Amino acid sequence: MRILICEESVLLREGLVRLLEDAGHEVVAALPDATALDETVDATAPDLCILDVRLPPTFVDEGIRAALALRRRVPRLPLLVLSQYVEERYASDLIAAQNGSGPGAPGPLGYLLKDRVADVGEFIDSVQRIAAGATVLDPEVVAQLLTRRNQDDRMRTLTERERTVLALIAEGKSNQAIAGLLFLSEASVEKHITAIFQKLGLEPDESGNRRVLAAIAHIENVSGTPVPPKTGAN
Amino acid sequence: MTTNPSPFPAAGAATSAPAAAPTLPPLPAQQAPVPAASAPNAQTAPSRPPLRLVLTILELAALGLIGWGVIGMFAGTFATGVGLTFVFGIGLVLLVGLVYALFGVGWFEIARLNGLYGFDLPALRLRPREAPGFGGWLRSLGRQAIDGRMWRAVANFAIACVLGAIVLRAFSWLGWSAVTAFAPLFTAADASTGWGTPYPIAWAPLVGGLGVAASLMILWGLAALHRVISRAIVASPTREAELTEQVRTSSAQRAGAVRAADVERTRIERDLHDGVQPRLVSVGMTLGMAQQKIDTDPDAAKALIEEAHTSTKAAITELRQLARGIHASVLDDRGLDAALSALAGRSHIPVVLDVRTDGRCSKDAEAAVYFAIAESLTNAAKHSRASECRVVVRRRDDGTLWARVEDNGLGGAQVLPGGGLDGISNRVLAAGGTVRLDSPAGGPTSLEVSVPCAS
Repeated sequence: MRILICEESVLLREGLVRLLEDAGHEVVAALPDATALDETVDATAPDLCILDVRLPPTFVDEGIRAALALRRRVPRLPLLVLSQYVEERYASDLIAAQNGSGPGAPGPLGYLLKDRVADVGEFIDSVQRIAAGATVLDPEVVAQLLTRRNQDDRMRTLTERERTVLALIAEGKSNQAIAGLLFLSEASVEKHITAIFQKLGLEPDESGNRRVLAAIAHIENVSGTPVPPKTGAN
Repeated sequence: MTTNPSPFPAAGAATSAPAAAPTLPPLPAQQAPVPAASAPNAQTAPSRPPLRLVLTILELAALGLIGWGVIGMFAGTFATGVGLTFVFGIGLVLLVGLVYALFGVGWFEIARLNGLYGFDLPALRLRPREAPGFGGWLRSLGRQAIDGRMWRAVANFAIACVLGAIVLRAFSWLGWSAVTAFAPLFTAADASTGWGTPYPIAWAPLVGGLGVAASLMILWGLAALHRVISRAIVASPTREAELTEQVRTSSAQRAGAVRAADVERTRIERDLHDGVQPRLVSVGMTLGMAQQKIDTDPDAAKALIEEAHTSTKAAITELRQLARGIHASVLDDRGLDAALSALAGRSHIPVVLDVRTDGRCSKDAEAAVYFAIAESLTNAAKHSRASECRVVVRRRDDGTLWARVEDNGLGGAQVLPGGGLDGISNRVLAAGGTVRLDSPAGGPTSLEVSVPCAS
């Protein structure tokens, strides 16, 4: 896989390059800031772009803005944004840009804490899943999103277990992975998912990336959607 | 250690700290242009008591003579103005003129009192126009018409005129009494008081003498009264102005303190973000890779672990320096001299220290000066390309702790918001001190700070 990195800290940039090359990927460019990002993307046509949130010159949210600009310019390019902190707002901004379908639909998105890099295996796995089309959100980001929305009535109808499953869906985990993590059979995971989607008024036959997006979009807009509340199955 | 967006950009003229010294109250009013009538008070220094008494009496007499005319003219203008307002608004012009005339009287009165008593009052000023155009002028005029200070001065003028009238009367009594005292010399008839009470001529010297004494007492009393009244009416607001000034200074200090703390916090966060955290993440990453390789490629794993070990030690060093930058405990224990020695020892460019302070200053003052020096040295090392720095610290006789940091570098340092120099000036301002930066393009740079020792 051809990967482009945009990271200010030399240590991390070099580390990422080594890590990814070690895992058999090709790093086509490693930039210290976003000034030459567009040209480099055009010139190298990467399969995935990894961006740090804080980049020069102001070290605030240049990475987010660069990601959004890139999303508009090259919609299909998979993006992985690395952040020092969990910033629900940053994640929301990125997720908001994920709406749309058809051939011009936005490509997959990842939003991970920088610390996740230390779990090399899992990080590489996330990178590969994003490149393959999955949306991967950091568990902490999902937790924050859920905390924000937990006051919502329909969210309150979810059981503790269902909420855990919803969070895992939002993180981009497959049914199989969720089953493995929660020590459940895939069948009971599916049962939970059906219940969740029913309670929240979502289409139950969503799968894969679209399912994650639906879940996230729901978490994001839960107070705004005029869906009539449905009675829970259990 | 920091990677702030440069507090020392390339070019730029010397800049001084913002709002450096708490400004003093405005200068004493300039000398009043004295009209002929209120003769000899044309001096800015307060007169000595006997002279001042004479001057006061003369001025009051002059005011008693012309003041009534002025007041009468004002009253007439006011009445005419109000009356004519209803005739095509002609009177408004008169009223506008009246406001300016009142201002003139108020200005004159304050100038007169400053000259007479050395009150040091700021001269009366016209209200500045805050908005452009006719409306703005009208509004400033309206505010001028209800300006408290102007009215107090005018009121004092009116009272002085009343006192002046009494002074004139006292003069005539004085003259009459003096004549009476010598009456037996040129008449033998019975004398009479001014109120038609006849008495033997032999008593005239006594009556006259008493009259002279009483008139002089009255004059002295009026002069004293004038002074007391003026002080109460016109001069008392100086206290208020003083307090206003104090409030302004202390709120500037507080704002500086808040900003200094804010800049400092941002710096710490940035140091952590740019220095220690990536290092630790990188250590984690290296160890993660080592973990993956340890079974398949033990040698590579070993090398990675070694690298992580080195990186960990660097992170520890960085943390220690960061903590030291936040607070130097040696400053509290051993004072500025010791803390600066340690600072100079750690500096990347050679530092010549010259510290002469007897005794300790307040913790805040020492910390502010230490911080300023530390930050200046960091800046010099990072941006100036200097090969040497000189640090001079003195405790001055006027109770200030003074320091100068000079380098032989490129110069062109500027105060940028959030930069190192901004942090210095905020910190020093918060401690009640001042900063002076001299850094012409091409160098050298010198920074002087001066902080009150007891701050």
